[in-house]
Amino acid sequence: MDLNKIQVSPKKRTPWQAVDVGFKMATQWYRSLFILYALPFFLFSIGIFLVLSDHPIWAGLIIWWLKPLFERAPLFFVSRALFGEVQPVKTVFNQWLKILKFDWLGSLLWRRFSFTRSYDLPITLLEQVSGKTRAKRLRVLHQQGTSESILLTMMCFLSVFVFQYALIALLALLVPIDYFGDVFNWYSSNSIHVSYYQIASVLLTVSIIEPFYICAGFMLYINRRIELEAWDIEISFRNMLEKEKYIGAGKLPTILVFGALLVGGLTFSPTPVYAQSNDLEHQVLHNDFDQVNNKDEAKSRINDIFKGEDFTNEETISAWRLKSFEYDGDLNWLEKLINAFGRWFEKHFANSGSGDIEVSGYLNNVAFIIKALLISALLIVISILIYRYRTNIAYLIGYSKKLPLNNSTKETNTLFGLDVTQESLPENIPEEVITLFKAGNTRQAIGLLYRATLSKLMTEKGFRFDESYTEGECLAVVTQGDDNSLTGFISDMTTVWQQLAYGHVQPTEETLNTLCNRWSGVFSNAE
Amino acid sequence: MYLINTEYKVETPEGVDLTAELAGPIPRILAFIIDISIRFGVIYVFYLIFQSLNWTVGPVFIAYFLLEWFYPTLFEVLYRGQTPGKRIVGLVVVNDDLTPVSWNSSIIRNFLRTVDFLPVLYVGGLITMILNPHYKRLGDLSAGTIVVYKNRTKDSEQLPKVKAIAPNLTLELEDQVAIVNFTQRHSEFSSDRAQEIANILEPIHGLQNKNAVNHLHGLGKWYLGGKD
Repeated sequence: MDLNKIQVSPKKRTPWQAVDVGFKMATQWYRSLFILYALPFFLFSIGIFLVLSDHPIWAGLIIWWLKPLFERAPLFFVSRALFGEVQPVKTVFNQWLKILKFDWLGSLLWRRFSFTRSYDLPITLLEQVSGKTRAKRLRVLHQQGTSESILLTMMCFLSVFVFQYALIALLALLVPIDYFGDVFNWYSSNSIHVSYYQIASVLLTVSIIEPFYICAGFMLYINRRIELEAWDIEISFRNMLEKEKYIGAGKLPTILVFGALLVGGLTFSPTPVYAQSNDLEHQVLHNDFDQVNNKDEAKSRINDIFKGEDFTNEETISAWRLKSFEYDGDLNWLEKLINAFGRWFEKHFANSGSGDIEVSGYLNNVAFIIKALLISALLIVISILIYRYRTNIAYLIGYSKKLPLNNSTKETNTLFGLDVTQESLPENIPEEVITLFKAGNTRQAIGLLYRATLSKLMTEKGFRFDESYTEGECLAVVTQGDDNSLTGFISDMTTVWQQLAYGHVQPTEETLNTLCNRWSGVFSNAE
Repeated sequence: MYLINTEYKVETPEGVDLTAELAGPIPRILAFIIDISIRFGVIYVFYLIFQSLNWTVGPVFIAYFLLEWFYPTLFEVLYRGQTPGKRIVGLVVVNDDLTPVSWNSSIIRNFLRTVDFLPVLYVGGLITMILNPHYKRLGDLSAGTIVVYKNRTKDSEQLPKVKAIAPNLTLELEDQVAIVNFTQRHSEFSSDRAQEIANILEPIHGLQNKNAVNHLHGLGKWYLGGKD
């Protein structure tokens, strides 16, 4: 048993979590487990059926009684596989009888009805203890996980039943509806075939479920041992030893000066740099780390800081709420109104003379009012909807050729943090750009040109950008416009801007001049 | 190396790892059985009342319909993801990003019970659950929900009576956790075993047996915040 090769992530779990990990483990090696369980089980069952062919009930009982013996081989396999030693099925079969031998009588007689079977089997099979030692060991293990292992057995038992009914139900669901009854008649008849069918389906479902049952019980056992023997801690301690830097370090006193460095490093926070911002200098946030001398002073300062802007978040929410009120008037007027309406209705529409006009007439009136109200509400809703979507409807019935786009009239004022309103731009843009560039403010120069480009695209060329657009998306919008010279310019402009803004690549003066000239060609300069 | 486990991890946009333990078929069947017993119990009491008063039993059927379809949803959304059965077993339904389950997903996952029920008695759902790596049945798959264990707050365990020792070397987080585990779980394993494990770290702390155990307990106490 090499703990370092354990295939389950080692940690202390609750018993239910251990059961779930057991299910995972069963799916991991399901094929081997199924063969190891089902092959001997089926062969044995067929043998018993051949011998006792006239008494399927007895045969079934014997098979059920001997069932625990077949659980040993899969458990043996999974106990090896857990520590990374996945044996071929054949190797396990070679040792099958040897695995079976230890303490077999007990598991068939006085332990046959034990509900904690899957939890206890590892002690018999893997620890090879019996008698008093076993009982002592069980007492330790059973301090936890007992109820879970009992419930596990019960749930698996239940599943066998449910699965077996599911098989017949599936059959019934798949036959044509006319024969539906026949299936049930056949199933409820006492024929020997039905017995065989039932027993075969039980055998099948038992072998499907058993690997899960075995693994879940085994994992309960392993989990208890992880807890009792602290496997997970042992494994992490061994991992610690492999980190060479720890060795010997613990014996020398070391002084850590990280604290001071850390505080110094955190107080600088870079502010975002935009091309339009004149102020490129880094802002240094000040933290005063003055000495605080006594407890009260510290407390009051902490309170001050908590009252500050960073720790409070006030929101004003206004909404309609139902006021609590008491209605002290009476609803007589409503009753009178209904009655008046009822009388009017009776007079004009109801066929008077019928005997129970008093009661049913009144009820009819109420119903009529409600009906009228509902119908008018419906009409109102429909007309509101028609009015709301009138343009879309006009488009749908072919009356109008234009599908109304999302005609939000909101102007876009900023794009990726750049102010693109026309008011923010100077009069003569190329001139201003070149002046800025000559003064060494490359960033501002290109930024201004790009902003002006975007602004003109929106005001002059009528493109529409959302505030959420990126440079690439703006370019894509322009590309759709089918104006090749414009697209070419915007594409070059965007590249230059992106290289400067994100790549910090300075454009040459020549590039800038070309861009300015092209700009003047594409857009009219504001006069 | 892949280790078998039932851990479910989600990383939030802020880079925080959230983990939960997925709940498998057996605890969920158990929770379901508790829930269905409660439902049938309620309906039976209802039926007895109506019958003894000689009223028509029609409303009983309506109540049955409502309970059958809305009991899980209402409990899951209004009761922090737990039906009474799940609460007893300690399970909770959450969205698969570990946020609380919403009306939308709870309704989808519970109305699709009908599909999980097929061919009969939830066998379809059970098979899907076992085959799915996150133990999802069909309803969970379509609603994007998972069932996980709810962490129960444990009573603070009795720590060993030693003086906290300030560590003189910086250990990585996982190693600190190991030492804290060793300290917190000291009453679970025998003192011989504790010494055996503590001796593993001899190259680091240079102590043996009882002294090693006490040293590690002291460190653990320090990591847990004990300063005396």
